[in-house]
Amino acid sequence: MAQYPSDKDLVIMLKDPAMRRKAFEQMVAKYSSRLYWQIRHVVVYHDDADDVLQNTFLKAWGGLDTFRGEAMLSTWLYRIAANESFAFLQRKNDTLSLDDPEAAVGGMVDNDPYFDGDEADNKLKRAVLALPPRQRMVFSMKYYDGLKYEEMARRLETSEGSLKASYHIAVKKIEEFFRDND
Amino acid sequence: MDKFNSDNHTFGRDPFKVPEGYFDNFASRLMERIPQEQPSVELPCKVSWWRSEKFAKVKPYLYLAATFCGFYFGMWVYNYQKNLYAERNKVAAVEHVNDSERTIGSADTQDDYDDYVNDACDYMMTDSHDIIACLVENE
Repeated sequence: MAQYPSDKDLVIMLKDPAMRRKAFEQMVAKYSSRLYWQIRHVVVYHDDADDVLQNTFLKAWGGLDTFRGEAMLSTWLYRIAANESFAFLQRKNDTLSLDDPEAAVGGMVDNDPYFDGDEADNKLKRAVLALPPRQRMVFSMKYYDGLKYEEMARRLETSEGSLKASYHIAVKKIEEFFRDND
Repeated sequence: MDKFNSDNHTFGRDPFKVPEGYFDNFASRLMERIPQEQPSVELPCKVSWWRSEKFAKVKPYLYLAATFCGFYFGMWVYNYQKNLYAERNKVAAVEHVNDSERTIGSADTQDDYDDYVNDACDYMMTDSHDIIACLVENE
């Protein structure tokens, strides 16, 4: 397993113009996998996740001067990734077919070459895809990534109470989806 | 019948796949999109002659020359004013004498007349003896 500098060392190196580029490349290598899976569980498609992940790091590069180190480096990156994912979902939501959004969503999952799940996984993914963007994000972070509400609240800059409510509603909708699509 | 139960989920089993070697070259792919920062180049700044180093060397001598010019000018003005004042005094004295000559007959008292003559004599640096001698000579 590759050894990466600690977040504290990375922050110091990122502040130094002479070492900034090298430090940023190390930061990308360190966090690309973790951020990718957070994004992927939300946007589903690999190509979309790749776009969002690149946009996340490009935005981080552009915001290095404004990062004062008050939040942890990882929290800062996750927050950018969450915002980019959310913005992506909102844009994509607008372009889904209005005639049959569920069919359009199902088509996305069925045609994904990078999805290797059984029928139950497939059904779950279709149910998640049918959720509104915010509920999809909260559910994915809680269910697939196993994050605690406290960490989710830091990344999404919202209260734990609203996250719990969003997750509860998402679960109810998925249960209903399973009942209706038996 | 499949039922969804969020409590039974076992983390670690993820049906999503990622292309082979995706994370290995992701960082290098991303860094290609970030432009290299160009070092800032200092462009030669065109400096006006007044702010140039050459003028800085000449400045003390210019200040000295200006000081002397100012001094001489001041002296010239002083002398000019002094001479002007003297001329005005001379003219005033002559006019005073002329005035006194025209008004001899109309002097209020003999004393006034004597005063006029005495003032004129003082100016001409003559005394009464010289005048008497002159009058006697002309008789």
